[in-house]
Amino acid sequence: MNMSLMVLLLTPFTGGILSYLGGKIHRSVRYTFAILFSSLTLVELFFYYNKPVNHFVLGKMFGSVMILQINPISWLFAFIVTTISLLAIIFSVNDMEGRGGLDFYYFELMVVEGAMLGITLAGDLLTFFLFWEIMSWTSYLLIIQGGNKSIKAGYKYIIMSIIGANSMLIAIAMIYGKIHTLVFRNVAMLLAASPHGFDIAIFVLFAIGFFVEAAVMPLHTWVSDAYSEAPSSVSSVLSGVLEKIGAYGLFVLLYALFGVSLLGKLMPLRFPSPTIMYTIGWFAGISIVVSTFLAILQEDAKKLLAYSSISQIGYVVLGISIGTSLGVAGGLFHALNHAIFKSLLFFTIGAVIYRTGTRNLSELGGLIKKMPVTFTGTLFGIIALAGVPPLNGFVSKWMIYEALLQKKEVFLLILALIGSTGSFLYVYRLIHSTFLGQLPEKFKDVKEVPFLMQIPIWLLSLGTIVFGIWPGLAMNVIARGEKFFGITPIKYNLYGFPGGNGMGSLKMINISSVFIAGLIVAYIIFALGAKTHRISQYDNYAAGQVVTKDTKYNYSYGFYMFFGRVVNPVFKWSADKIYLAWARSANVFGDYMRRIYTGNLETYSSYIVVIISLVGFLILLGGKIW
Amino acid sequence: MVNLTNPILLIAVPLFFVFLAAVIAPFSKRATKYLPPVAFLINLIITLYLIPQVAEKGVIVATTAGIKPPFAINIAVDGLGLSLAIIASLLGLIASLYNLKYITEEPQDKFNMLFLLLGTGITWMVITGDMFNLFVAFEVTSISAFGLVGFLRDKDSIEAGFKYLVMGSIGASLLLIGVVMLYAATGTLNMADIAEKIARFSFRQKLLPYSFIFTGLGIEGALFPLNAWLPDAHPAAPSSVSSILSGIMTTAAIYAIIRATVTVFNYSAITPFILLIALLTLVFGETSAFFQKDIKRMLAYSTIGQTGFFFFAFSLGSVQGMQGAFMQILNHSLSKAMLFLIAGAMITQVHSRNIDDFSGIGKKMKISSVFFAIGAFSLMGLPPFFGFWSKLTIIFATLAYTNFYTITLVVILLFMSVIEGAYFFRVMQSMFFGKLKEGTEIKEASPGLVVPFVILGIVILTLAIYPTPIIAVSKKIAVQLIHRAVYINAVLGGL
Repeated sequence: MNMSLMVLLLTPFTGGILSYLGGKIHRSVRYTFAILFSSLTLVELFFYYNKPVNHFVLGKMFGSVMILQINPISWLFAFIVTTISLLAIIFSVNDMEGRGGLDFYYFELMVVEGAMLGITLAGDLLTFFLFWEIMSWTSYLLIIQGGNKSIKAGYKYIIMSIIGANSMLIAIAMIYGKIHTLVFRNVAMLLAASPHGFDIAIFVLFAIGFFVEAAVMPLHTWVSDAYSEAPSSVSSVLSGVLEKIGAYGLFVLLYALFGVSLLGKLMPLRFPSPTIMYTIGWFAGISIVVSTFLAILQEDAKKLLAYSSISQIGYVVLGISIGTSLGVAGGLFHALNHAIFKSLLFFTIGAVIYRTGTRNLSELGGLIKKMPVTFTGTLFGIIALAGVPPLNGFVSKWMIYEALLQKKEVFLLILALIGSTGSFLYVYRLIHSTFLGQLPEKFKDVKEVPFLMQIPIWLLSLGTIVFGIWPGLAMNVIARGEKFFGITPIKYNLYGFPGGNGMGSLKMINISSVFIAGLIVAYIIFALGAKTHRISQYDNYAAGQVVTKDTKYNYSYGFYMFFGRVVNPVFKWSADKIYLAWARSANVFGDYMRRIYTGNLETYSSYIVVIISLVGFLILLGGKIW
Repeated sequence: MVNLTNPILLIAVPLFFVFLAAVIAPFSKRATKYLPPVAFLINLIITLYLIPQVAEKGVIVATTAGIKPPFAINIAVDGLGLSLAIIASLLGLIASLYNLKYITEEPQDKFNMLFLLLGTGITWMVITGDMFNLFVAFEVTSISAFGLVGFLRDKDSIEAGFKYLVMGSIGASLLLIGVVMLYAATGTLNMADIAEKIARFSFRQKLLPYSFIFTGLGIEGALFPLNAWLPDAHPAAPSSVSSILSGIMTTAAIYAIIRATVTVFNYSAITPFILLIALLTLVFGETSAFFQKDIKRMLAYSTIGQTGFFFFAFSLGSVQGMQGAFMQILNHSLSKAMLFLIAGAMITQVHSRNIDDFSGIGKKMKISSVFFAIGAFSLMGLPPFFGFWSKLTIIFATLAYTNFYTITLVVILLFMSVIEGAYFFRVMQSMFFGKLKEGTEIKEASPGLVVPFVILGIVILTLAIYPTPIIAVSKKIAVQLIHRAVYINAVLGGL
């Protein structure tokens, strides 16, 4: 039984290699292996449902054991990883068809899955870091599959990712220097006994690494380019899973390595929660608001979703940083929910791009009749994203709001609410500009996507409903996880929360019943009412003119221009520009430095003389160097 | 019956082949090119035979003329020396196999003789137990390297060869002065004997000879600011020669510095100074590499940076630091040698050394590009390659004690690793995803060029899969190096 944790970890890697080799024989072999092995991983994972494994020794390196483990929280994240990766693989089959280097693409996709699985299963920092680095460079290889522009985006990602990983590496080396072991439990003991300055340094160094990967502002600048330029199925993996891995890292940092009580001791307590967590909460809050505003202003569907991801991951981080049982549960649940609905949206937008070849919102429109399944998927996705009952996004957002209220963190609550309201604006824009309104002439012959691409859309739409009506399914895992990490487990039942978490109760089944009843009533009224008769789009007039096929009667460019006028002056300043300025000045400085190699022999010989004379000078000084 | 396990054979065999080459050259110049692979293969087999002995005894000593040390010229092979000799023979074998197809210019007989001499000199440097012998080996290495750098006889290589000649000669003279000073002070040339006798000298008295030896070797060992010949010489040489120069020759010089510092001088007080030099080497090497347009020049600057990196690890002075230094030496030698061979193979197709001209060739030269990526990843220290473990060891060694000073060092190291990542990823991006230039006919290089570096690549991949034994061995080597008494007793034990 114990050995199978290793088997679980190796399954995706094996699948990757097999599908790479299989692709050399025939492409169907490649798809079979990829889908088979990623489903197998999911199945194997379910053997560990409710069965934590604490200690599986992988090997020994530098005198520190490398451990695999699985606890409810890592199970939750491993579940996200395997599910979304499987769906992405299914989606890619048609989406990526016809491109070169597909064998390598599937290999990479499965290696990324394996690496992320390794991160969630890691029981010590060395294993964690090993898989983290593998994940960084393999996901880079995935991003640059998207063509010319994606190369630049990928370059930005890999540089930021290396910086983040190196920052973590410093922290890991600092810990190793003290105790020569990197097992989570021992690290936690070390941190509890260390001076506060050391602890804070460790915390900040780790947080930088996780912020880059989770795309929390101000380290988010790679996201908007990478998500939009990568292939759609990769974007959904990046946004649905990679970001969550960053959040998982943050969770491990906060609750496995530090723990709330230690965090409380590190800095003077002036706020409702420990100062460090409160600061993280503010980073998340600012992420939520700023990137929501940025999402509103986008013209590019995938960029819109990318900024929306930054904003939504803000909720996850905010929830985790609240530190109460309700807040943590809300944050973790939102991680799951966001993985579901954001991947869903990336899949549907990917489907639109697959059929129309553009992701520019102002060029699209009226696809509802042509692509009904995609439209339904998008509708479920945006309802969940906006946090409207009865879908899953509502529940987790509600939990986070309640947790903020409990802690009386009014300002953060305001930020969260602004973000939620703002998301109505951009999701409406998304569905309106793509599916509603006037169908451009050139998309007259667009068809629904192939069945294989519909599968992920159907499944994920179902997921938004299931976790919306029965949040207890996820709470089952999360509550056990909270208990595992020493947080009071949240009280829940299958349909919601019975109260007693220090807040009102929530029964999703009632809400959904009301909702469905409302729908039925509306439909009855609709059916009994006056008979409708269908008219053509052009049976209309605008500004006294008859609308023809050439007129564009619904405007979709600069949709929120009025809003842009207000916020644009503020967004003149962006973190990206600051980093670029730094890079430029470093470039100039480096260029001066390399001029020391003049190419001139006389200069070079004089360097030797300089070194020898320096030594002579030292001897004059009495041999004292320092 | 020849004793296969006598380390003197490591020098004698290739020297014999050099003379053999001189003898058969008048009859067939082309035949000489089959001599280096044979010589290096024999060397490799001998070194592999030596492994169990070294593992058992720690240090094996061989003498000439039947006189015991310290009076005779002796050869003392310990773990570090043997490992470097293995690397040198392996790289020599690979590069000379590559030469079979690669070197078409005349005079081939002279090239092959110089190439053999280069390999001999490097092996000699890492196994000698005698200061003067070290100087001789150093001279053999440098002089053959001067000739090889200028071998192509175009403007670039002649200029580079001349620069190298001047700098290298200065280096050799400085080294000789240092050795003479040591002899004057201690009356012996044997490393172990000097090591024993030097204990009575103060820090200040040791400084002068040390500084001459350090500077002399530092010129060859690519230490800042003495390394200015390197970015000219390494790219100008034929790629197989560059791979030896970058892969093992600078490392051999660094080995000599390490041997002198630890074993001979026991000079822990100097470490702050060499740490500073190492750091400057790292910073200037990596920064300059970032700005290069010429692929071989970029790799040459990267060699400077990497040398700084492992020399830095050594200068930490701890067991773990030396372990990391050795691991990085191994990693760098294999990967950089492979990268140079691949760059050479690509240049034969692209007919240019400019990185911009390499754009898109990943689609045509699949094997070369993939192995280029493997080498670069290992050099950058990305898991699962071996470089990851050596980078980790070095970072762990640096942060063995956390204070402001060590954290600053680590930040500099990691910042440089970001820069290294930046330029390697830039090259690979343009290779794999750039647009292929119109009208160029590029295909995979001939198997004669591909097979050698693929062998090297397989070694690197094997290290990636089984890093643990090498890590354990490198720890033993580091411990052995730092306990200098073992070495001294082994050499002088016969007295």
